[in-house]
Amino acid sequence: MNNCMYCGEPKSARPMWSTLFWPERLTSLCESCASSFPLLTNQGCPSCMKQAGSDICSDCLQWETSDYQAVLDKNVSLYSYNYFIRDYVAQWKYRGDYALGKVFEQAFRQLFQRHFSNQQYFAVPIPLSDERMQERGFNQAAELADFTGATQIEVLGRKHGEKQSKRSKRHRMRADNPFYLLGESPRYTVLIDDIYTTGATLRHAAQVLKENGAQKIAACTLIRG
Amino acid sequence: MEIEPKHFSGKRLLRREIPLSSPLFKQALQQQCFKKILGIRKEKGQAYCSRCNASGAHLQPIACQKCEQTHLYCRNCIQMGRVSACEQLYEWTGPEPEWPVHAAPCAWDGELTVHQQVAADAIDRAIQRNEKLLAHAVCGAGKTEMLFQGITCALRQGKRVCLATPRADVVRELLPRFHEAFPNVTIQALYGGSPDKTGEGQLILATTHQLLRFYRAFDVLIIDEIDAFPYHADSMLHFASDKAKKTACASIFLTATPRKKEKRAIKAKTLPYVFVPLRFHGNPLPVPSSKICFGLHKKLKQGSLPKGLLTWLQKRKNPTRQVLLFLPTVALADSLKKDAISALHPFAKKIHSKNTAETLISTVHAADKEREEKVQAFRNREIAIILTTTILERGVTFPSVDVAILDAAHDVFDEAGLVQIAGRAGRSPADPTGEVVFFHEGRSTAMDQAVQAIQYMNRQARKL
Repeated sequence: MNNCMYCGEPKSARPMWSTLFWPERLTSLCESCASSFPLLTNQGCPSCMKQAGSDICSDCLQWETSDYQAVLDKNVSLYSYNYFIRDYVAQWKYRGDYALGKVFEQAFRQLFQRHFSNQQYFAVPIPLSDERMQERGFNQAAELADFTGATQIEVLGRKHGEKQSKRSKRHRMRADNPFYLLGESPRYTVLIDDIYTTGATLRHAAQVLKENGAQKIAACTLIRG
Repeated sequence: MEIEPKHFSGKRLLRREIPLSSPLFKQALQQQCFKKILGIRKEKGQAYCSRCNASGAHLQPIACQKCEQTHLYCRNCIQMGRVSACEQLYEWTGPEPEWPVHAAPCAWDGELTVHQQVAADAIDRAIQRNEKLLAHAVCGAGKTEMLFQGITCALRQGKRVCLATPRADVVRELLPRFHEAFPNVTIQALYGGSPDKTGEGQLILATTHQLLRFYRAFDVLIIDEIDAFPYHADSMLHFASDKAKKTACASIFLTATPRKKEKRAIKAKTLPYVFVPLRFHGNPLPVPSSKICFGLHKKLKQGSLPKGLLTWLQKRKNPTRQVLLFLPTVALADSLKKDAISALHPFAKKIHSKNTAETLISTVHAADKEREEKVQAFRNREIAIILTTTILERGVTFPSVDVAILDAAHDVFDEAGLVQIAGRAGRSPADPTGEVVFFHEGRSTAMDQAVQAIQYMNRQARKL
């Protein structure tokens, strides 16, 4: 296929020696789409990668004074948020266009390996509720967790509720914890999700694990919203 | 509870598109109201999507956690909801709905011109005989009105009618006109994000994408603007429109700018054809003039407007007409500098002196959230100059405008597009002329062909 799998425009494929021997992969983007993902280049907030100064950001400070104090060590992300990635992710997870996730495979693995290679970390994807799973057929966080190369365990379940993206920040911070434990919590955990917006979802999940014996919990997300 | 056949008849739907509770749906299945069809079917080792018929690379594997297997799903028609191999499509096999027979459905009391009447008769005949017909009518010939007679006749026989077009803008523009013309008929407009969703109307106005949900539904299928993007180049949409027809169905194609394929079919006499070369107000089409601007590309790259445009704006015959300014790309519209826009202010003031100059100039493009509002504001003359990409090339009518195209030789402006753009000018009987100017730095074949096509149509009109 010589069209971009996202925008459908024909790719300007300059034939090279490599294309002769390794035919191009079916799932790939054109140059213009591939360069539209906003890569995070600065660390920003050392704890959550919010792109505002290099000190701990006000959001994190606020979390540390709440009931969720010290449940989440840190968050690392690959991209920041813009209209392009918003629409791309919407097509991927809400429309259920599974193949679009493949694009992140390499970069997401590298991100994970860079930050979580030294200890025996387990990847725990943020689950969907059963209802949501019936609707979508796949969990984008589990797809990302597959890319990490780490052992993946599903120890969390989720009660059905409103979509996080439809809630306000205050509402999110005070909302009831929708997660519950399914099995034994690993000692070293990296929570995997597609987006870190306020950090509420990840902290809810982290708290459940922390209360059940996890020692160190970090998060690895695709986007820092 | 009874299940209303009108909601489901003539459709192939995913389970989530059928708003029935699980027990009710189960009951419907037991009563054999629905037939199950595999979402992805296999034929001779090749997989196909049962909704849009895509195959090959359009079908990609998904590690489905619903059925715990990896199977194919269709990416081609995913905008309409995902079809995957572990799901079924449901086709209505219950009782056929009774569509009402209308004695006199049409409330439109306008009068057709002689030439419109000829085409209207031909369309009417084709609808009665379930035939195909291509109606070629120039921009502003009054195509919609020509359809009323035939649609009236179909509704009198209790037939189901669909008017499909590639563009959602066009659907939105047509809906109020049809409501007015057929006040007692259930009419629904379907497009991405439309308020109507059920598709249970006897008369359906829809984008061609929406036809994917229908299966053997219509006695009459009218496709407006067959030459428009994306219909003309998308085999999925041709498949969808074929599938939406009943076995005996009249197909009417409308266009102002037939493409090569249609021209060939006309020449070979394989497609019955009727031609209306004259606008309904009887005036010829405005013929575009070309103005060469040296250094045009450089100027645009710098984010400023060419001098030629400003001189033209200065010298226009009727400086109170609104201006449609076409640009080849969105990026270009965004990159125009502030002082380039402010150079347009005095001209905008001349068109409309009440508002402040800033609000008189606006840009619009396909992904624009306020697109509908802006187009409406332009129509209400609240905006004097609108900078647009090709999205406003067709289907929209503004009574009194002049048209300018910057970089008319750009690839996005093909012959059909340029003819359509030129056709925006001189639409109203009160102001039946208008200026159309191509600004360019070296002519393209498409530009020449467009001018020739317009001159040809005007010659044909003079012969009448």
